[in-house]
Amino acid sequence: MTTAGHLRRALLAVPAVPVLLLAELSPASGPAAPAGDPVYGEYLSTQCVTCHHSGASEGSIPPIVGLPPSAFVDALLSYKNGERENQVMRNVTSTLGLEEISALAAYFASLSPN
Amino acid sequence: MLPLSRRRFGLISGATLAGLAAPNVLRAQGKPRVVVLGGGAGGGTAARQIAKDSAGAIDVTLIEQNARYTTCFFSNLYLGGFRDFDSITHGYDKLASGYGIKVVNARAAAVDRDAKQVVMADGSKVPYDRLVVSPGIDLIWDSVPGYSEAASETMPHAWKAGPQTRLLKARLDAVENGQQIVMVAPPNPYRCPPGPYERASMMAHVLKAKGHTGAKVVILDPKPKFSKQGLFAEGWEKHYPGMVEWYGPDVHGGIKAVDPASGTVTTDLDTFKGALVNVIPAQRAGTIAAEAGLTDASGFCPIDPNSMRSKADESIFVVGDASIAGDMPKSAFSANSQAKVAAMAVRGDLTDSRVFPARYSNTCWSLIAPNDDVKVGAQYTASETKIASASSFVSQTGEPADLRQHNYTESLSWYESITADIFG
Repeated sequence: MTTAGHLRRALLAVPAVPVLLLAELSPASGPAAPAGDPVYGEYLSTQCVTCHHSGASEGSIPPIVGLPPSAFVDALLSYKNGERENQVMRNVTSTLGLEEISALAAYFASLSPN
Repeated sequence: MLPLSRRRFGLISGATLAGLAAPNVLRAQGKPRVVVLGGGAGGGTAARQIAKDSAGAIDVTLIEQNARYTTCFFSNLYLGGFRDFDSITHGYDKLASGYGIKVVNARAAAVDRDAKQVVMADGSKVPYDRLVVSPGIDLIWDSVPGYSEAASETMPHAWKAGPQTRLLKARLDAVENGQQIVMVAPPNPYRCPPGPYERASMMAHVLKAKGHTGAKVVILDPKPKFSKQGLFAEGWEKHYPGMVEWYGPDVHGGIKAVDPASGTVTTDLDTFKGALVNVIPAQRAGTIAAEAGLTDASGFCPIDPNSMRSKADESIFVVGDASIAGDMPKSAFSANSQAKVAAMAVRGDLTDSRVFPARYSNTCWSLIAPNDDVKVGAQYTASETKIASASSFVSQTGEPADLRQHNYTESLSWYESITADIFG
């Protein structure tokens, strides 16, 4: 997957998002955490944990608690851009803007796996 | 019922206007009280979410008649022999011990909206500041002439999981080669749109696994089409050739009656005799919601799509199968999703917590045969008038076997996660 592709397609999908935020979200931008709103992320996360076990579960749906923000954002963008396969995740991310993705990343990064 | 509902609605509308001036109902004494009616996918989720997120600031009581809850979702996998009964049955211990929820295993008789309290069958009262109503569905027994609660002991519905599910499994396991199972499918709207067809698949699987390929499942459907129809049709032809027959109304001409004594279903076309007859009647919101005046002429409960708040009562939220949830199907996933929006709105009412735009989600997996699982899903937002689909997907015919197998393992993970999300 290409970071440039992510940025380009994400920019097309959410034209109003400032370039600065996109840079913060880019995995290539280094370890800087996205400036997401963790309270918003906590609300959005309630949708995720219907399938992703809130602890470190086994099974084909991977745990997402404690993921580094850059890995979390990269994963969601790769679904959103159609570079990664999974019908559910492509559908879920189709309605998530960068504000939502960064909020989710901030929230899940703040948790520790059980 | 309707005139009473309208009168109540008028009264409540006045109260609502007054209530809007002071959205936060912070009680002068003690914590605000939330009562949740029904401990299924909607009610369990709402209770847990409110208790967890309010961290002790809200007093949460969950009223559920049964001490243990058998999930309708995955009950078809129990019928097919893929799950044991214990694995689809859950208790409320963790909600009580882990989240401080007061779990009351007793029957609620009524909602006294004027006094804002739930009246229990024993006459005791449980007061609330906000009430979450999640009673699921009730069956309209006489929607199929000849059918009744008593008849369900002979012709099980198994559309409310529990003893009926075990009965249907025992009856299914007793079907011999050459015999016929007849299913009467429900009209829209009903709980779990793909459910009857997944069930027919699991019935055929059980028969085939025993070498009973001379037996068959006949589905008599009041609907001209059904959920995931192309996928099921393809799967039946592939896995169970000649064993599953589906007849829509253009073929059978109308389902006239069932006769438990003779084990028959009469249609305009013919009379079908079954060694097992599975009748899934029409459905409506749980009776307590109707008696509380929360339903409309459809038999289900209108809600505000932004919050799941009842359109009849500012202090009440209705989630799950009992609600009119626009484009969302009646499913455990939907109920769980709706409960989270309601929980946020309830907390917004009672504490200073933030309220965000409603987002809803659903995915339904259906097992057609071992490792052949299909799915449908969507994301939803609140439009002016309803919960509206924002984007959706559905499995396609002709998909590779490894994708279908992945769907199955995905559904197993989902079950573990959603039941933890509901029951703790």
